[in-house]
Amino acid sequence: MSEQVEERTGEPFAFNEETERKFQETLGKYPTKMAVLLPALWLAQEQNGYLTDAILEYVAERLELSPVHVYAVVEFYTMYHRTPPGRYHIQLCRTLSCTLCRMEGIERHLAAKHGLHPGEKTDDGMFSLELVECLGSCGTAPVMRVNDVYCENLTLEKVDKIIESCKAGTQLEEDPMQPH
Amino acid sequence: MSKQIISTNFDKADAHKLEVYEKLGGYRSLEKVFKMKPEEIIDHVKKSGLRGRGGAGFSAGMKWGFVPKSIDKPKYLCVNADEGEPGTFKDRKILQLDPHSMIEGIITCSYAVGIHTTYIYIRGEYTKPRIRTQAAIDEAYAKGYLGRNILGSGFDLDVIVHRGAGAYICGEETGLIESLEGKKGEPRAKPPYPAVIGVFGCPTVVNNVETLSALPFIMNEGWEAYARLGTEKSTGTMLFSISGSVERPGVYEGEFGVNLWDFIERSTGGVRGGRKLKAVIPGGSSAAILTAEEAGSTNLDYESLAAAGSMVGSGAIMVLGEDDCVVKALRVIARFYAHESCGQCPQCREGTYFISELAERLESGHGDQSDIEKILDTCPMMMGVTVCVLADSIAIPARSYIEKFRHEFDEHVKQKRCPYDSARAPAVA
Amino acid sequence: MSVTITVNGKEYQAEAGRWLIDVLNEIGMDIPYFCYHPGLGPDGNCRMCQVEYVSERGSRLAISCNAQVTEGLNVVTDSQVVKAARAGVEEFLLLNHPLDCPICDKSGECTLQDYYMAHDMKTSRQDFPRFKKKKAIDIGPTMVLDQERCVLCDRCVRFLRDWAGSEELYIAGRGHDAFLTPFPGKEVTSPYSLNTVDLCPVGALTSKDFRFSIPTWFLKRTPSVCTSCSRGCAIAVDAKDQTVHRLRPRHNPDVNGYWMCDAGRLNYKFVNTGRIRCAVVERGGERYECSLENAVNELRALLGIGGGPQGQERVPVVMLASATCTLEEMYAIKRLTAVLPEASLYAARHVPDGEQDNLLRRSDRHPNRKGAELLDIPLVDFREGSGEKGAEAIGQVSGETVLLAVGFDYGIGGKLEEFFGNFNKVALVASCESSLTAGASVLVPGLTFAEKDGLVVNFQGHIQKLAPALDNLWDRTPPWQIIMGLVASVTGENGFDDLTDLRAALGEQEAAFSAVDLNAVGPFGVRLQEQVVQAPLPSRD
Repeated sequence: MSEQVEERTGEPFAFNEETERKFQETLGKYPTKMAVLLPALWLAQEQNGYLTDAILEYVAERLELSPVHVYAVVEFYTMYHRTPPGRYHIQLCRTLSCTLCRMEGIERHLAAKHGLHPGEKTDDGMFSLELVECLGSCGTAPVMRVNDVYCENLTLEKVDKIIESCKAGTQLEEDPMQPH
Repeated sequence: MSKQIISTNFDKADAHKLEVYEKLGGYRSLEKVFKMKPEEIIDHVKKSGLRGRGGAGFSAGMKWGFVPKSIDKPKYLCVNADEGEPGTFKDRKILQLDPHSMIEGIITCSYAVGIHTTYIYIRGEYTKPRIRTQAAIDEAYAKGYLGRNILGSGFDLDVIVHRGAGAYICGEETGLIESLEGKKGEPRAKPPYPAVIGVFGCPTVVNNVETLSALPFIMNEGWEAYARLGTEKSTGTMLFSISGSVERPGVYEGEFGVNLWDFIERSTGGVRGGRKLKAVIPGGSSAAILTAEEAGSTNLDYESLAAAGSMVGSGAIMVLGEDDCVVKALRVIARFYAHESCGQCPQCREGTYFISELAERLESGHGDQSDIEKILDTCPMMMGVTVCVLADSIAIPARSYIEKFRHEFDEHVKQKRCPYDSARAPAVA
Repeated sequence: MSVTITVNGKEYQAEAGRWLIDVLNEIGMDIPYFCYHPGLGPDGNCRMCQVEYVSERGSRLAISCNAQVTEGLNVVTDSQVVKAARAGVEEFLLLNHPLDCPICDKSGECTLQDYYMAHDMKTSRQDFPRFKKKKAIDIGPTMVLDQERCVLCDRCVRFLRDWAGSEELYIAGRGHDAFLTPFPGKEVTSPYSLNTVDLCPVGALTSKDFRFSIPTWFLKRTPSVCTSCSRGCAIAVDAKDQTVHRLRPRHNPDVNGYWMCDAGRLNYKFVNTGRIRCAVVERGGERYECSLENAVNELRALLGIGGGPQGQERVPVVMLASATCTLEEMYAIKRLTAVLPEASLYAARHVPDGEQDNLLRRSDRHPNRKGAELLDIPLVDFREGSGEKGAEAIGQVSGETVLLAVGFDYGIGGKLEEFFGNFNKVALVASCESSLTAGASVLVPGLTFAEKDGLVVNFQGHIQKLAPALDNLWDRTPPWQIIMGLVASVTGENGFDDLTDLRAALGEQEAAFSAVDLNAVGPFGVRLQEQVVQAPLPSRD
């Protein structure tokens, strides 16, 4: 027998007090425990930053689901992290409108100037870059999402500014949304 | 400026706040709604001709009408805010700039169908729209628009925001339902349709954000006022998300029945940098492409676009200028569908990936004529044979790209490179 | 309610509400499918079973597995459109399927292979490297998983979740990256896990036990019954020459549905090894191999049978039939007991209890205990750890008492050994070497379930038939025939020519079986009507 299913990862996990409170609140909003799975995984990810196998088992137990169900669900969706992302996780959109607006230039610039490559994390753990499909901000392409913040109408200069702000620890702000 | 129904509040400062929304006439329709019988409302909406704005364009009133009237199970409304069709960004505007209009629509729909719980499924990436929507819901509860005995009508309604986690397929209504139930977002085989067996095994209405946002106007002004707009079968207005190589991309509300290219040019100022128009994708990346000539001679409504072999879809219009590469566009959208296929059906799971590989090879200049033929052979094998229409959503555009722009594909093979090679150009805003 | 449906222009009667795919296959339309299974119901993901639905609005392609039969339904199953749809599915599934056929255990009984021949037969258009996934993953004590071969039909997932009640496998990821997997670091431990190997339409899930043992096309399939517990699941014995290679469940709606447990499935090794090949007699403390004829003569002497009614000596005899014996064997022993002057008969429970659940497994591991009860043979208990005491129930035996024991092949423990030790003379009919064989004065080789023709009655009173699956290489005489030969020696009458005669006599003489024709037991068996059913067959679909 050559291969093994991956080793189980992660230290023992439990919701902290605040997460537990939110979890209890969420339970009341759905008629089944299974329906709380996506919200519970979000809560776990907010608390821990990413989802280890131990966390999946914990969530499964809390919701009376099988661990493998939880695992399959986590692997289906793209926004649950199975390994720690960078402190600033950058999602750069690569779909049609962004491509028509030259997102490749942004991608090359992030690599050449800032050493950020798709699917990788910087050695200092500061940034990780992921190329993603349509972020739903095509009117302001090219666009990327830095943690929770949409950075729109990107230019090389704007990208530089964003990276500098992150390094300086400044809170990123979304541009005000235009009526069109 | 064309008629505005849904986007009227987009340019009003702080319209997302209840106080401002009320001043702009918000929640006024509810008085009328609660005086009507539920079936009267359904009839009213049917007569307005309002069609679902998520992509399928099915009559909203009829969809509500399919829900069994008397049943001893709860009924649910799922608001589809999982906006993911490439090129579409209108629901984000509504959620962030005018969430109360959607909530007003939710109340109308819920009352008409007899629903007491509504879930708003917002795509995971939309953080700010989600926060705005939740804040609006909280305000609406505080003011008695939601919760128990709304405005003394005796009608109860809870609205819950549910966050997606990154999957285009959850925008398909049964994929959304599966996801909401805590599963992988794999579309269900139909029948049964959600109106009969939807979320948690109960009758369910799934409506797009924009569809619901159109309801306050229809209730306030009457179905006649709405039906007067647009064409006979494409009534009213729609939010068109226009992006790609245009001067001023954005969301523009337009009345159905206008000339497609006229509307684009008038709204956005035409192709970016004064270049020539090459092609228009009129209804999201799932729609067949139109040549410049077709775009100039086609009207913007359901029937005209269907007659032109394309569709209104989610109203996402993407414009390609003369130096944008159609082969590259195919490569990009094929990769999108390969990435987003849920993987249930072999035709979609394997077909999307196969077309994506072929398109990539062609675009890179390493392909040959047989690769073009392989795509053309593969497309019909993916059409009308799967659980949902994701496979069709790449097969239809892929075939149209090749049929209408065959010379570009041939050039890639002949020159063994992309003749446009826009990848080398610098980023522009 | 019976309704009229039209298939390829011809009208048929069909039961309303049934799955269309079942009806179409019953009338011989040969609808292909991967994900559907009659025991699991429809899922609708494989798209292979598409047919054309004809209505006034034209015809439309849709799957037939999740469609129910209704009046006036009109379908076409042989049009070009349908053929193209099937060929399409097949081509897509093969696009990235690994070229493992020469080394794949499923080869020869692989649905993907069979359908390629039936519906596709085209050269692959694939010229990219095939998509790589993990291979030969150890997923537990019973199975190996190959993710590349998997066609993602979800059958194993649904079986474990919906029927076996243990969600241990799932399809994770999505699109072309989707893969079948257990939870990281966890194993599949369901006691019914190996049913997923049968369900797997390809070689993605293979049995560790059967892996690389023999190409499937060499196997001869014989319908039979599992003898590992008192459920008696219908099985097929897959064998070649003198070797059993695997047991697989066979559909029997009245007993086991489509499934069987892993323990029963893997309980066949004793057939292939450690067999008693030759009769043995003991003379002056020495043991000699001898012909069956000599052994039978020795047996006669031991039982005091002198040839004819007058030559009978009064030898006290204890007859002990294992509750694993067939009905015919038990009946023959009962007949022998009746004609001997001083014989008493018991049926022994001796195999230790196994696991029991509310699915199929029964703790009682004797396949024919019910048969013994119905033949009014008193049961005595020699199970290790059980409260009952078999030896005490039988009582003191004198020094000259002879023990004739039949059918003790496995499940032999200290209590049984101790009991056998009470006798100076033991005659044993058994198939396998055990701690009992060395002490036997006469040892007659018997037959295992894989070689026998015989009936067993399960705990519900359901009679099913064992069939010989192996070639009778050593020309062994079935135990019932040997015993009936002894009866004939006593009575001077002719014995039965074959089992048909014996079964007819059994039916005539034993009240419990008077209502059934034991010679007409079909593939699904026969339920004894007067028997109170103790537990209904679980259906969890």
